[in-house]
Amino acid sequence: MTSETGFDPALYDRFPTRGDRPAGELEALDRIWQSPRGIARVTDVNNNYVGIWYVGAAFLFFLLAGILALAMRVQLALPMQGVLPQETYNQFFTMHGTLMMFLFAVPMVEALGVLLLPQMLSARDLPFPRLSAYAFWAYFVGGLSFFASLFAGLAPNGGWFMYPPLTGMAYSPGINADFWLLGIGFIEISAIAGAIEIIVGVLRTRAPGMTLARMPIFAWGMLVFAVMIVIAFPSVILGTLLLEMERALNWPFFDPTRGGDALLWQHLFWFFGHPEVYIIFLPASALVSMMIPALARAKLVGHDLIVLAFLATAFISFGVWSHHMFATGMPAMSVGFFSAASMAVSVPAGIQVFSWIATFSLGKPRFNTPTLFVLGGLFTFVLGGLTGVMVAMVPFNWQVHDSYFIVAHLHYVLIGGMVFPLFAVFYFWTPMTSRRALSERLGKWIFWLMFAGMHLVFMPMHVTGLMGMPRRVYTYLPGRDFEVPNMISTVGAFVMAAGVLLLLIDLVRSFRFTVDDDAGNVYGGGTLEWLPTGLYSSRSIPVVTSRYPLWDQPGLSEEVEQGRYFLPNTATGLRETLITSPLRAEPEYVQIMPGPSPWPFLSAIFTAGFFLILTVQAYAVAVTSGVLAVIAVLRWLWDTDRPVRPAQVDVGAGIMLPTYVTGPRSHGWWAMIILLIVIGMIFLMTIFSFFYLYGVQANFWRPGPSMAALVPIVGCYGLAAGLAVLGKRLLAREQSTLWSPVSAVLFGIFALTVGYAIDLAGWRTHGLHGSASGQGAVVYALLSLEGMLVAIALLMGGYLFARNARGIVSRPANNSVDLVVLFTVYTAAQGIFSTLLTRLVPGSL
Amino acid sequence: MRAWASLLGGLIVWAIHFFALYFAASIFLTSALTRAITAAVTLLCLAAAAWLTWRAWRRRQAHDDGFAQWSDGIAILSGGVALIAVVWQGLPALLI
Repeated sequence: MTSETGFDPALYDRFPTRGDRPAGELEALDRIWQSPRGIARVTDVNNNYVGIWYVGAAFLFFLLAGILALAMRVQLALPMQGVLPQETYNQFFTMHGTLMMFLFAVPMVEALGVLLLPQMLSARDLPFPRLSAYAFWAYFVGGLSFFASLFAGLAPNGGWFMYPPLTGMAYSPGINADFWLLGIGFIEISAIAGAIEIIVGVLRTRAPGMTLARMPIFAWGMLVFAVMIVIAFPSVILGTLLLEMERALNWPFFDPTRGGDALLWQHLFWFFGHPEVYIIFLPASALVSMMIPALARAKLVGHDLIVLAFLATAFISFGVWSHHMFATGMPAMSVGFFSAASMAVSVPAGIQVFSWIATFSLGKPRFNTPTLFVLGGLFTFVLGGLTGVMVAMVPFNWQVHDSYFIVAHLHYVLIGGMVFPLFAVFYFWTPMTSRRALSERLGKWIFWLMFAGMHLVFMPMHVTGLMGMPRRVYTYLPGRDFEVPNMISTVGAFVMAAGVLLLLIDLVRSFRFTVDDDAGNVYGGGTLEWLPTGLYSSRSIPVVTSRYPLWDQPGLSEEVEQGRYFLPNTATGLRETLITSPLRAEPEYVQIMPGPSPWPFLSAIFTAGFFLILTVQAYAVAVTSGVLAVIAVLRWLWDTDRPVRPAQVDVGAGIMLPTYVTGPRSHGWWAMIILLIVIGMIFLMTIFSFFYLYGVQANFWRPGPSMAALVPIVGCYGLAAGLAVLGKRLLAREQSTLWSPVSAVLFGIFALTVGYAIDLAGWRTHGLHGSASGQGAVVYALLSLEGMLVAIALLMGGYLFARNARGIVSRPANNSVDLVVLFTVYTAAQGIFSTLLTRLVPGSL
Repeated sequence: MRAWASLLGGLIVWAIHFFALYFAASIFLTSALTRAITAAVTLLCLAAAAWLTWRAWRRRQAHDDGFAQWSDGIAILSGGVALIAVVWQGLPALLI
C-alpha cells in the first residue's frame, strides 16, 4: 500500500493489541480531562461542554427570531393593523432575518460541528479548543447585546442585507445601522475562527486509517462548509467595513455622486450572501446523509456522488451571486451567465435528493420522528428548489422580484433544507449527550404541527406574491384580496410555533446532559460517535477500515473501550490528541492540547465590548476594552507552543511519534495558512472594489503620487520578507546567539513599518483624501488594511521579543517564529502589490 | 497540494471558465467580442476538462491502491461534471 507520510500501513496490523492494559490508565484520562466545576465551568474549553452551550445558544436565537416572526404575522393578519408601528416592524423584520441567518443558522451548524466532529473522527477534542471557546463566547455575548438593541428601539432597520443608500448616513443617520455593521462584522470573525478550527480538525485529527474515502459525510459537509466560509465571509467583512467607513469617515464607496457606486455593496454582499445559503444547507444535508443509513437500515447510495455534489456546490455557488441583482440592469450576457449557473447549482442538490430516496427505497425504514423530519424536510426542500429554478429564469425573476413569492421560496429552501433536518438531528443525536432520549410520541406531534404549520404559512405566500404583495411592508390596504392568504399564513405561524413549544416541553422533560452515561445508540448509527465516550472522547483511538466502522468492524466498541488501539492512556500526562495526515490519515504526531483557561472567555467578552461600545461612540471605553482583549489573547497564547518531554512517545503497540512538530506538518501552520487565505480574500475583494469603481466611475480618478517612491517602498517590503526568512533560518544554526534569529525577524517587522509609513506619507502629501472620491476611499481602504496588518505584525514582534527574553523560543525550530515569519512575509507581499496597484492605476497602466 | 488539484481539477476548470466569462461580459458587455471570447474560453476549458478526465482515467487503470483509485474516481467525476457544466455555462452566448 502507498504511504503519504512514510508511515508503514502494515503497523495497523498490530491493532487491536492483546493482553490487559495496566491499571490506572482510565483514571488518569478522567483526571486530566476533568472539567472545572461551579462558576469556573465558564473557563472550560472541552468540546462536549462548549458544543452543547453553542447548540443551546443558537437555538435560543432561533426562538427569539421566531417570536419576532409571530409578532410580524399578527401585524399582517389583517389590513391596516396597529400592532407594530412601521419603524418597529422594520426593526423586527431586519432582526428576524439577521438573527436567523447570522445568529442561528451558521452558528448552529458550527455548534453541531464542535459537538459531533471530535467524536465522529475519534479525536480527543478539536485541535484548538480555546479558539472554539472564544468563538462561542464572542458570539453569545455579542449576539445577546445585539438583540438587546431592539429594546432601546435602536435595532437595525434596513433589512438583513442592508442596501445603501438606504443604510448610508443620508437616510439612516441614527446608530441603528452601526449596530448591524459592527455587531455582524464581529460575529463573522467568530464564524471564521470556527471555520479554521473545523478545517484543521477534519483534515488533521481523523482516526488513523480514516482516509478521505472513508471519512463520514458530515465531516465532508463541514469541511466544504468551512472552506466556503473562508472564501465567502471575507467579502461581507469587507462590505461591512467599507460601509462603516463611509458612515464614520465620509469615504464615499457607495455614493455615486462622488465616484462611488451603491451596486458595489450588492456585489460584495451577495458574493457572500448566496454561498451563505449553501453554507447553511450543506452541513444540514450532510447530517441527513448521516442519519438516513441508520434510519433506513441501509448504506448510503451514491456516497461518492454526494461527495462530488458537495464539491460541485462549493464551486458553482460562487457563480450565482448576481441572480439577486437581475433587476439592477446588468449587461444581458452577464445576466444569462448567472441564470445558467443558478440553474446548474440545483443539479448537485438533486443528486443528494435522489440518493436519499434510493437509500430509503433499498432499506427498511421505520417511521420514527427523525425519519418523519427527514422526509418532511426533503419534500419541503424539493418544493423550494423548484421555485428556485423558477426564479433563476430572468423574466420570471423580474416579475416576482421583491414580492412575497421570494419570501415563500427562501423559507421553503431554508426550513426544508436546514430547520427540519435540524429537528431530526435533535432526535437522532440527543441520546448521545443526554441520559434520556426525546419522546417519540411527542416527537410525532411536533413534526405534524411544524410540517402542517410550515406549509400553511408559506404556501399561500406564493399566491400573495404573484398577486403583487411586496416584501417588507408593515401593512396593506383592504380590498386587494390579500386578506385571506395573509390570515392563513398567520394561523399557520401559530400552528408551527405550537410544534416548537412542544419540543421545548420535551427538552425540559427528557434532556439531561451527560457525557459518560448517555442513552446510547437508539437509532443504530454506524459511525464512531456512538463509541462509548468520556470527556476525552473514546478511551483509545481506533484504526478505521470502513465508512461504517461500527457496522463493519465487529467488536470495535469493546476493543476501543478496553484500550486496544492508539493512545489508550495519556502518553505525556497532559491533554493530547493524535494528529494524522490530511489524505490518508496516517499518524504523524501527538498534539499537546490546552486545557481550561479564563483567557479565551475574557478575551471574548472584551472583544464583544470593543465592537459594541464602538457603536454607541464611547470611544475611550471601546479602545480600553479592545486593548484588554488583545492582552487577554496574548496571555492565552503565552502558555502554548511549549515543547514537552519526552520528545517521542509510545502511542500504542510500540509505535513512536514526536510530541512537537514545526513547519507545514504542524496544526498551527495550517491554521495560519487558512487565516492568511481569509486575509488574502479580503484583499482580493478590495482589489475587485478598486477595479469596479475605476470601471464605472473613471472620470473621478486621477494619477497617484510619484513613482520614484516605489523604490524605497518595495525595497523596504522586500527587505522585511528577506529578514524574516533569514531569522527563521538562523534559528536552526547552532552558532547563532540567543538574540540573532529573533532580532532578524524584529528588524524585518521594522522594515515593514518603514515601507508602510513611506507609502502612507506619499498619499497624504499627494493631497488625495479618503473623502475626496471613490478613488480616495478605496485607496485609503487598501492603506487601512495594510496598516492593520502592519500593526498586528508589530504586536507579534513584541510577543516574540517577550518569549525570546524569557528563553522559551525553542531550537532548532519554533512554531511561534514560523507563524510570525509567515505573517510578515504575507504582509510584505500584500504591501508590494497594494502600492504597485494604487500608484500605477490610473496613469501608467 | 497535487492531490487536491487532481481531485478538484474539473471544478477548478469550471471556475476559471465562469469567471473568465463574467469578466468578459462585464468589460465588453453584450457584444460580438464577448461571444468570441466565450467561444474560445469554452473550447479551451473543454479541452482542459477532457484532458484531466482522460488522465485520471488512465491513472485509475494503472494502480491497485484503494485510496488512489477512489481519488481518481472523484477526479473523473469532477472532470465529467466540468465537461457538461462548461457547455451549459457557455450556452447563453449563443442564445442572447
